[in-house]
Amino acid sequence: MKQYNFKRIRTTLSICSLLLLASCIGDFENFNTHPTNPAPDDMTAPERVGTLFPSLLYLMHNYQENDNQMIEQMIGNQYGGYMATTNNWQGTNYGTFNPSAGWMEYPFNKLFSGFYANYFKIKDITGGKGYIYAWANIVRVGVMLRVTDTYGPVPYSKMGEGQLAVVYDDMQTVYHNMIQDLDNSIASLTAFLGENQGKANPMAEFDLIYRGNFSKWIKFANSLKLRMAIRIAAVDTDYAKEVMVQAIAGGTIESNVDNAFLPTTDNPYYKAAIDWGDLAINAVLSTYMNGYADPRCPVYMTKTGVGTYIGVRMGINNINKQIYSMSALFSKPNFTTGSPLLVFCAAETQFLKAEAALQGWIAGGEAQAGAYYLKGINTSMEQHEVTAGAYTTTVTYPGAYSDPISGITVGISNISVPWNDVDAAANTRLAKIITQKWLANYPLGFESWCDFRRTGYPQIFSAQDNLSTDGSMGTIDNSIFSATTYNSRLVRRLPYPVSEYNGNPVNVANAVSTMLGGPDKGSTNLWWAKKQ
Amino acid sequence: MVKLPDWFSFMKVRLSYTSVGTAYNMYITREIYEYNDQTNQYNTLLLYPNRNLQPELTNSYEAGFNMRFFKGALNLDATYYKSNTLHQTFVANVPSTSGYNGVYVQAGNVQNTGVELSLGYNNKWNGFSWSSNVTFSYNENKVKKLADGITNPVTGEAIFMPYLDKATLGSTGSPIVRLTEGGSMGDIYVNRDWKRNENGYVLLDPKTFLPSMVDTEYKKAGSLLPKTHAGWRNSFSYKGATLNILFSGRFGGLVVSNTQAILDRYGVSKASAGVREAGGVSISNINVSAKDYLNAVAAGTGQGAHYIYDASNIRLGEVSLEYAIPKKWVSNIADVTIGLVANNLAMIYCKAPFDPELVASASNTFYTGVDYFMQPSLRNLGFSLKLQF
Repeated sequence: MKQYNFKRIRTTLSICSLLLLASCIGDFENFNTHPTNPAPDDMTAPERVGTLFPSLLYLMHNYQENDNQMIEQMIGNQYGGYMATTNNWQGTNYGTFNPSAGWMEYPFNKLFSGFYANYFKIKDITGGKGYIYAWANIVRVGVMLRVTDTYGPVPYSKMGEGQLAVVYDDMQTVYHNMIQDLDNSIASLTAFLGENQGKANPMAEFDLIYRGNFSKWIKFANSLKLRMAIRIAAVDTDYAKEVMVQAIAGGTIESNVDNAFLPTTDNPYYKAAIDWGDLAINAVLSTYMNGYADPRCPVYMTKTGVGTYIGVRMGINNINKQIYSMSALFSKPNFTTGSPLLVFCAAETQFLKAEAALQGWIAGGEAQAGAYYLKGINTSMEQHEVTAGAYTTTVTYPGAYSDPISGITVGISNISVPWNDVDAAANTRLAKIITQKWLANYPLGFESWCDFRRTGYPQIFSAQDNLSTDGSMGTIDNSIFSATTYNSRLVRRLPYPVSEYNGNPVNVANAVSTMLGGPDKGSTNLWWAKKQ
Repeated sequence: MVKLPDWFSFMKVRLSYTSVGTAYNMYITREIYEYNDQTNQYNTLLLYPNRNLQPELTNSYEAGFNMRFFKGALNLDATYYKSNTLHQTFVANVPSTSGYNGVYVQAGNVQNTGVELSLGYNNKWNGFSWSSNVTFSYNENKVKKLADGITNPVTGEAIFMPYLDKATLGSTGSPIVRLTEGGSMGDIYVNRDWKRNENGYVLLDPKTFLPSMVDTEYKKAGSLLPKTHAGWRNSFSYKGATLNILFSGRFGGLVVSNTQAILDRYGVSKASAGVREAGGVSISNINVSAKDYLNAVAAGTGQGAHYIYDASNIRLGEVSLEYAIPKKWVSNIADVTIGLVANNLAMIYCKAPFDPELVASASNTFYTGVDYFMQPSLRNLGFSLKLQF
């Protein structure tokens, strides 16, 4: 009797457990399917690659509010003289040259891991060929150029070979590889356009910049080549000249209808300036624009309560946010929630050509440079829907800036707008070209920071308080402007991430000792930014 | 069998071994495109793919005994346990130049060893009875192994994981929870301290005479985990009336208060009034005003170790008085018990500015022992009526 009972129990148990097991396996697929995030099988072939592009495109001008603040606002736009942060946070800020290690590695890690995981996927799906892969490679240069110009040597040519610890390339190799990638992409897209004339581009809905018009992406790629050629003109002259010639012959962004913008519905500059009170216009920008009575001024910045335009100086230690974030006292970047983010504008092309002509790379020399210079100014005015008026003919100077709260005063050299008003000291033709390029490129701060490091222009106010130490980004040269000299070096680059020293120690150490040409500090000049 | 003395009434010995598996998180085995609803963009998974995952496993041994003496008047229960949790799923950091954010690795060995003791006494003298029970528990948590040195399944490279940061207890500059081999699951580290000169004295700014905080190496500040818990329950009964009193205590461990830091910074806490009434703080013989001092130490959600407190506390956990109404009073219909119950009546010893036993997060194992404007713990005063038919 007992035996029988036991058997029956055992049988029942076995059947029960079998049922449980069966139901578990049967539903496993269902349980393990994410309720909202799609798997690749849920998508059409164009969606599978296309959906990854928007996030890559936005790495050329970060959109997400924290990314934008940590990358574009704190670094690019602050060191580029367009904006200044007005929040003291923990007292460790880029403006005072003592940002925390976590902040300094943020752009590096964000752009690298934000870009490559998706890029590898695109490469995997496309088999590393075809027009979609070519497009991804143009974006790759657009993104990685920002990283190498901020940190120096980075891994580029050995990316995607499966290692977790990737070898670095020196900056010259990075630049040459990038140009090669752009050339390959241009050839591939040209072939694609030739074969598919009049057909709709399946990538159109994912192309937030040009809506699938890949002939404009060819112009964009050539414009990037031109930008890079001018950047390395002094250090890799023959190669740079060749690249410049090819880029201009290939066709660059010449007209405002070809400008590259990324759309927003929740503009991060607006959010940081107006909603958070963390951001204001940089005193450098307001000083120049006031001095020149620049017609773009109301487009770029808001008026204070008394109808003036005045920015905040970079690097005020223990900044009082309550005061410096008041839009009644200081100008804010004049964006709306829907303002698009600039990636490349036609005016920049003109100033790049002006600089090329100035050094004799384009026939016509100084006169031709002056023509490009004027065209650059007018293209920018047209882009912002204002008229230049007497802007290019009136000799005025930016003057000095006085902080309305502290009364601390700082000034810049006498640089004027008219092409023929020059002197040998500061008001040179190069100074004019870069200053006007800077005024046109707002708010593409990273480009202006590059120009400042390469040429010393635009002249940017030193930080009011230099809190740099050897421990953080290194001791930063913050020498103050005097009436006769202007040689502030300010921050030259950012140190490599702690995560690289932890996870990729051999390669980063090798990059510092053999490629960087100086200690891994913010004071070390990049390859193209050596003092001349 | 051994003949036990008369006063030794009972003994039971137990020994057990269990091995329990736990599944890793859902969805991590499938390739998906993640939608970011903040940016309206899709991304592939930013984690390096690992196709060889196994469930987490907890092996535990437990040994214990239960003894009764003097016909059950005194009883002792003791347990020793040791459990090891293996194959935990970690996200190991990888350098971003790999193109990824991290990689799933399964490794680790987290060991819990501990003792639980309970000693009880109960006796009756005519109508009066007293029972008393003391409980004591001790647990030691140890991270014996993280994934450091484990080989990455895809590339064959050794994974570098000397530590693993799990939570920041506040904003930047506040303590973090960091796991290290040989440490515990609740170790907290701080990396903010005064700017000091080479002799270790706090350095004041030569212009403003203000101290400032700087980033330092991460230093261990202690552990959030308690060492021991103890409780003492007494019950006195006389003719249907019962009085229960419970004292409970927790010893060891730390807590962090972001609330205190923020209130200090705004100058609205009792502690900030203390600093203000003392006329500020003297650093290197220079007086720093309360405002400047608190602005420095309480920046963000409190800097470094300034808002870490000892979590040890002893409280009067429960007092209840019950009375069983004699059945004949209610015509033998039911057993009726009325009572007054009070929970969490008084804190006898507590150094933290909030109840250290409050738990902030139900979902994150590591975000405990931190107060960011939590509701204070409740004191319950109640009345009970029990009917038993």
